[in-house]
Amino acid sequence: MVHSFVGNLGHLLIIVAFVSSILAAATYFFASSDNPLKANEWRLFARMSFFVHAVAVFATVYCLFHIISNYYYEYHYPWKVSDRNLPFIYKISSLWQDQEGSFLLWIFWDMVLGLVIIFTNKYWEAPVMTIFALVQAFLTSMILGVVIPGINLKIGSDPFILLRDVFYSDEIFRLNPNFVPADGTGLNPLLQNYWMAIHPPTLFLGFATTLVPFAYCIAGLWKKRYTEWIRPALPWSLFSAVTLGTGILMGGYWAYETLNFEGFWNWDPVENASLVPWLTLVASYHTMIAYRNSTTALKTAVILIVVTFILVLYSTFLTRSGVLGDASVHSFTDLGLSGQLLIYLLAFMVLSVFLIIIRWKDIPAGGKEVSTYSREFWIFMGATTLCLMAFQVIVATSIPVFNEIIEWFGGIGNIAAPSDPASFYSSKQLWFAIFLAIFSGTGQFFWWKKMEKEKLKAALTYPFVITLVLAGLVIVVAKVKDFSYILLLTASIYSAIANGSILIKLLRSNINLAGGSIAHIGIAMMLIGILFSTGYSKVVSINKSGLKIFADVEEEFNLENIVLFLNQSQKMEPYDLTYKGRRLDVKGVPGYVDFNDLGPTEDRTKAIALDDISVNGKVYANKGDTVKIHPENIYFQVDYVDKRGKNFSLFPRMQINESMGNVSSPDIKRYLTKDLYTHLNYAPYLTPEDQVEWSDPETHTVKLGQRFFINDFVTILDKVERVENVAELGLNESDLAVRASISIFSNEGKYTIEPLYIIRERMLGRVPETLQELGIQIIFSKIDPQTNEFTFEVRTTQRDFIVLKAVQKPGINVLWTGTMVMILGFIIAIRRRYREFIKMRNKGTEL
Amino acid sequence: MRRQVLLQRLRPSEKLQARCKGNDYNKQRKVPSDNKNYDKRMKKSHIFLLIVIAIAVGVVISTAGDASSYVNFKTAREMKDRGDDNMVHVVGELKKDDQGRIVGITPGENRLSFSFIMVDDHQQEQLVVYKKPMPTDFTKSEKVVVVGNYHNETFVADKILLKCPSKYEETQIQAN
Repeated sequence: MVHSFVGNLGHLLIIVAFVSSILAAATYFFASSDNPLKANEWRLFARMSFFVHAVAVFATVYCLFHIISNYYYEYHYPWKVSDRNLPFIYKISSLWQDQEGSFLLWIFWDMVLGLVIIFTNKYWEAPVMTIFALVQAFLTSMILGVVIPGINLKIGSDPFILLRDVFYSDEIFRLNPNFVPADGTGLNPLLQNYWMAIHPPTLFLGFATTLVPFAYCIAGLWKKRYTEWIRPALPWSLFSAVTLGTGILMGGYWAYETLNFEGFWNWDPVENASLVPWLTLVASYHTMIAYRNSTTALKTAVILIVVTFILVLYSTFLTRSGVLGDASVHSFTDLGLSGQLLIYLLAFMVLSVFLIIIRWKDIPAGGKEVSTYSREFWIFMGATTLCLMAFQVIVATSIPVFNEIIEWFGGIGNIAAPSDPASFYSSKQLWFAIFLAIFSGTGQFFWWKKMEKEKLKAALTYPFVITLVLAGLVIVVAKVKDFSYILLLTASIYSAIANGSILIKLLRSNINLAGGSIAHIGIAMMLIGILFSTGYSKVVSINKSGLKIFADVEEEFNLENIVLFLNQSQKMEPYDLTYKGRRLDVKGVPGYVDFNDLGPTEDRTKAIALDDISVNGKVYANKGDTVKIHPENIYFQVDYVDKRGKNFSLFPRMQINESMGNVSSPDIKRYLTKDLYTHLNYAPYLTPEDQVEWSDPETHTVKLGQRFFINDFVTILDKVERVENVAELGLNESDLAVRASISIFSNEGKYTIEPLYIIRERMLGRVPETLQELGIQIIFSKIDPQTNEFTFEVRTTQRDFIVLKAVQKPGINVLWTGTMVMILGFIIAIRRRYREFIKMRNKGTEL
Repeated sequence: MRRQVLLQRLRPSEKLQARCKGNDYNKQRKVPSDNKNYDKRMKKSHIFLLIVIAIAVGVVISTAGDASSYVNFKTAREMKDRGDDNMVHVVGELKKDDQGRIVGITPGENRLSFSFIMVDDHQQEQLVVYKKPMPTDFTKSEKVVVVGNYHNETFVADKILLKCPSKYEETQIQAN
């Protein structure tokens, strides 16, 4: 049955949200009038419009969730992003899995922020909300899904479109228009991860909050209140920076844990597009803080806030218009929204540039000029460095856009992105980071007190000496040799020490002012963490056998991977490694369960326990029980024993992922000073096409105690005896069973295999016995009582093995700890700036 | 005259303000020398601006220098013959037979590598070797971009980027 009501309702609600946002924009515009009577009249109407908008947006989200959680797969969206087996939390995260939903998430956050503004700020409400409602109108138009009759122009792509309207040409819908698929195609298993459940909402909240300072800034220019907008906007700028920054880092942490590129940042265009606005955003609030004492800071703040917001729109355009196309793995497929996105981008660009130009001369240039011994100078240097960092990233990321522009003018755009992005970006960003660390360290000395040349020298002496001693120590101990690394390390330590010395002073006086120095310590730690974990990441899985692993791969692969055969110990300095076999994740059972203890069922998400499943003495499932599994995730248990005899197991994962190919995820052993990062680069028998292939049988007819060779291994038939208790084998009393015991001597030691000769109901049963460690299968096929000879059919195969890479990442914990410290610093700073705003607002001295 | 008197009368409180605001007061009194400083500072900010512009230009130049380019196989060959080992991007399609079936894909022994025949925009066919597993949807792709360079007669791709059909065509509903 097609549940058309909820979809129609959802679509209607989107239209209501769109119309009400336009109405709110218009009415708030009139409510911004300087005539208080007129303003009051309009304000009520405007608020009503925005409340209607808020309710409509909320209800739209609910409708979308409704069709996902009730498995209405007659709709395209839930069919595409979810399935019946999805846990509740991922049903929520499948809401924003695709383009339409992520726009909806963005709209939702903007709506919430709008309500907060309405309830916290009376004076700025009308002009700020005019901008808000205008942005909402543009955003809701992206999911409008309305075709303008006559010109056949489709505006937006709505999430309530029916599957049959998408695949209208498919045979199935021609035969039966009411066909509903039994299940959805599911959420990409890679994204079924707790970080992926919170990363997008955080990131989108970060994007959404850039609107607040922008709206304040534009409102300030518009209402000619050139300085008053800064105080209410400042806590929002800080909030935006910490949210966006946290969102970006969560994505990085997810990538580090889940993907196998051995890092947290890949310089992918989509990642870059989120980093660039963050850099300018951070630069913008630094200049906002400095505006009182500098002629240029106010104007710079205005420009940077506008630039940040435009960059957010630009990055949306980059990732969603299809312009990146083949340049990024992240980017969404083109929904035909590129025109709309471009209009959105250009509209706000033209509007803000126009407003800045006509107001430019009126923006007050009070205060004094910047001197080298003022904090403004250092803030400027820092902000400039941040902007240059952003510039370097955005220029290279925009290469596909340049091509489009060249083509648009009739030229041939044939520039391609740098072929090695990691070294291209990091080699330049490293130098900017050095300056950033120096500026953030020195600037703090001017933060709380004016400084003269002499005083500065005195204040800097101790931090300087401590820095040099500490940096020297680290350089020697960690053997840092690269010149640029030495500089970055020293600069970062300097920043941490300098900010630390300020922090100690502030701890004694006023902790509320310590946000800046704490955040800067966090940044310095992050730089140190990035430097070591990236610059001194070391491959420990060095192939010392002198043998190539595969003939057809790059040399590096053969040198930096080791092969582990099942149950055979191998040395990897400073560990002994043993691959113990494949494991599956069974629902409700802690840890992992042996692959061989689980048998398949018709439903691929369920398995039969072939043995009791117990962990630490507690039985979770009995033999024959059906258990729930995650069939796409296969874990490979690798046991590590270190030099001191301490052992631990890692479970790197291979994910059989239809949409992404097989994805290898690492397992990480975390030490205090380093991470041991282990992932697989190859494992056989993962796909249906790639099954265990046995050789043609080879027949051996031998006598008791005779030596023969299987796969070049010396083999002896030790004994042959009748099995007395045949019932144990599930046979009847009248059946016959004979067990042979064969010893095989491989390089690693002796293995025993015991094939059975069975006559069941007078029929010969051929029961293959497998020795997985050696990849040998034996069938006991004949007994000749006359000659006392026994015949065995032997088949061999490739032994189960894995190709593993292990990388040591020193200092990565410094990065994660630094992140926490930075977030803490931001929170303290936001609290301080928000209190200032409330105090001034309640006093009535400022707006 | 009156103004001067007023100013003089204001002086004490002004002094107080000046103390609060740091050296504003001193600055006001030393107008000539401050002007000189002001000029210097203007120069300083000009120098600063010049440095920033220089860095920005440097960034653009280095980007242009490190950027790769889209070429066809003929140009890629010529570049290699000239001794230019830089990686290039080549856009093309997979070779297809008359029925539109893809031909020329040879998977490596462990599916860790594969080779295929690509036809560039100038209809030149080229054997391309990729020493990594085949990307998903490779055979479904409309267009293929290979990033790499020539090693003797084969083009060795370091990266493969795919242009896949838009989402409304990518899946077919399976009746079940």
